[in-house]
Amino acid sequence: MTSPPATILIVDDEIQNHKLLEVLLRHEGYLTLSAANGEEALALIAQRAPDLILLDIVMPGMDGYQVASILKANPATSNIPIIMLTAQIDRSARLTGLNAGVEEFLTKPVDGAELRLRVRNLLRLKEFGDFLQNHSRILEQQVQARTAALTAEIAERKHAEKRFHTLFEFAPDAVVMIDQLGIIALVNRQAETVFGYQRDELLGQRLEILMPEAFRLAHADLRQGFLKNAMPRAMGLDRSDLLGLRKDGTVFPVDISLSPMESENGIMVAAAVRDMTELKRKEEALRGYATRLRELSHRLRTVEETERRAISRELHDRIGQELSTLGLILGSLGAKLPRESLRAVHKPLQDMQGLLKSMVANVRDVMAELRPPVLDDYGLLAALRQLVTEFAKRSGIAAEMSGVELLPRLPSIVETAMYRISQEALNNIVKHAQAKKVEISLYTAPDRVVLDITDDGIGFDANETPPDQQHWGLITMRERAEAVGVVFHLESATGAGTRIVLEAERAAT
Amino acid sequence: MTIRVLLADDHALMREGLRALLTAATDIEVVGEVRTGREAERQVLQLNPDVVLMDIAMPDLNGIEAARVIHLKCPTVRIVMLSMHATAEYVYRAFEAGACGYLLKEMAVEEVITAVRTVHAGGRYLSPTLAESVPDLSSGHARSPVDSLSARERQVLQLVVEGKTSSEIARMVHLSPSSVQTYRSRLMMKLGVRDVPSLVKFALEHGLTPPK
Repeated sequence: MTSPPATILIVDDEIQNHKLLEVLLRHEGYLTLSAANGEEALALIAQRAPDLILLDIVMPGMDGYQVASILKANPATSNIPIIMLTAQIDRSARLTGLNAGVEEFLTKPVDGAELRLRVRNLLRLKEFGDFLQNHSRILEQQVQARTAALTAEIAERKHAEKRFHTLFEFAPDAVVMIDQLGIIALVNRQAETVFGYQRDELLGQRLEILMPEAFRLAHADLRQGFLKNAMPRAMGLDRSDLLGLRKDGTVFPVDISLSPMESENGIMVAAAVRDMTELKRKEEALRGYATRLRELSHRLRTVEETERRAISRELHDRIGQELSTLGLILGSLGAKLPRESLRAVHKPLQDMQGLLKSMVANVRDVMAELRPPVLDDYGLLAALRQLVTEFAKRSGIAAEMSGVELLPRLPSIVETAMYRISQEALNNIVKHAQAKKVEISLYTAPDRVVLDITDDGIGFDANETPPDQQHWGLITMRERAEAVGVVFHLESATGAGTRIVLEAERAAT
Repeated sequence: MTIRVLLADDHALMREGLRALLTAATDIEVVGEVRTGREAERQVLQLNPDVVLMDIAMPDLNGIEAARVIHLKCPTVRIVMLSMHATAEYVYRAFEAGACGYLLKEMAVEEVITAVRTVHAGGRYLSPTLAESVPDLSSGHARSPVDSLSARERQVLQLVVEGKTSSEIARMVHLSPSSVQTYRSRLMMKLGVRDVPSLVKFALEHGLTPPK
């Protein structure tokens, strides 16, 4: 246990004793220090503490007892063992020494062997003492460190709790915590606001007071089910049918998320409830806008059709008729003129007649473009037949129209919609399909009329959005169909052509 | 013996122009003018003309419907439609209703006299410019339910009636069996039959031949 040699301080006012002790101790391998009196000894010790002190009792100035008392009273030096050197060995002197804290006594003249043994023993004792002290100091330090850590942890926990509480308390959602029996254990500020209760009115109540009567029984069962397999999740199937009940009896739509939480009393469930009133209202409003937009576009189309029909009629009944009449008048004018005058105006008359014919042809084209009279006069099949004939002539794509005359005719708006959709479909075929053949079929099933337009073109992936232009075409067709209660089906696949099927319901005949 | 013509058109100037054109021909006489389909019907009964020259677009019974009534009541009266409409739909319907001539209004100057003479002589008259868009005047419109079938559907019908299965048919006409199935159910729907026996019965009634 000892590595460096121990240092021993000899305190004695007699030189002879000093010398003797020094010789004896050095011989044993110890280092020695010397002090001639008490004051000097204390000064030396304050500079550097020795491992052991040999202390003479009788000295000028402070005596050995006093020095020992001072050393033992100071915690920094109290563990330095002291051997008191004394001439007389009487009981009172020993008691005084022991009282002052001295460990051992040696009588003068000092016996060398006894000195060696006592010094060795005391040094060993001190070493143990030092070791123990050291050890307990380390222990003490560890205890202090741990205590500090614990204190910090507790502070942190309190802080976290406070933060959680703040979060909980000021959460934007109403949060209601319930125990396994469905009793409300905790609510936050928003819960008070949303449900219109004071906190005290809610705590200890059954959760079911916060929902309409009709939900309560089923909810208690659901609650049991949730506890069996507790995990955070949203409540309700499509989340659109959940309702909350306020204290004042008003019912309002809610969205609820559930999270189970471990606690010392078993699993608790935190329900975060969001008031969806405003959102639902906005949703309603949005739906309303969408409906109105659809109605508006339907009305616009109706107005457009009406206008087209009116202009088409006007062109036929007036412009066309009058141009034809003009042609007749010019013709009869020629017949009435004398031969010589006729020769002069023959050419311009002919030109005028030609011009009139081309004007009539143009009027006819514009009419067909606007709204073919045949659609109003003879209905869908006739109009489609004409459309398909024109299509085949214009596009060079083989087109076959087959079908039956519909008696009674479909309502005019349905005929118009089906006709316009067919027009759009044929336009799409010319523009995008690269088809060789188109088949259009109009037939009646027991309770409906079916129009089927199938091409053998390149098709497209019906699950993906087609290119913009075509995309709008499809949207328009679908909208147009749905606005008049016609069902629109589209089948297409890359390389497999496109098929559009329109179905209009009709009472069985 | 002159050809007695009744003019039916709601446009006075048009009637006037026609009268001027027709009276220039010595063999034609305009015996009356009317403005509506109903008046035409009445006047035909009173005047018993040889030819009625009639617009399609008239108030109070349009020309084609008037033609139908007149043809029913006086089958000997020859009717020529005079119209702005230049599509097959109107031409077919006019002939179906009993007209035997169809003349485009803007061609009247050149053609009206020929048309009147042709129908009066027992022939049919169609403005030459229309001939292209009205390829087959005699066939007219679908009359039999079979006519409502597409060529492919008729082909499939024939094969079904001959007792072929869908996969046999698919091989024969180079279609997928599912397409054949589609044609088959569609043609049955068009003909209003529910099962194959009814389909065979129907086909027999409409002149399709069963297998020998």
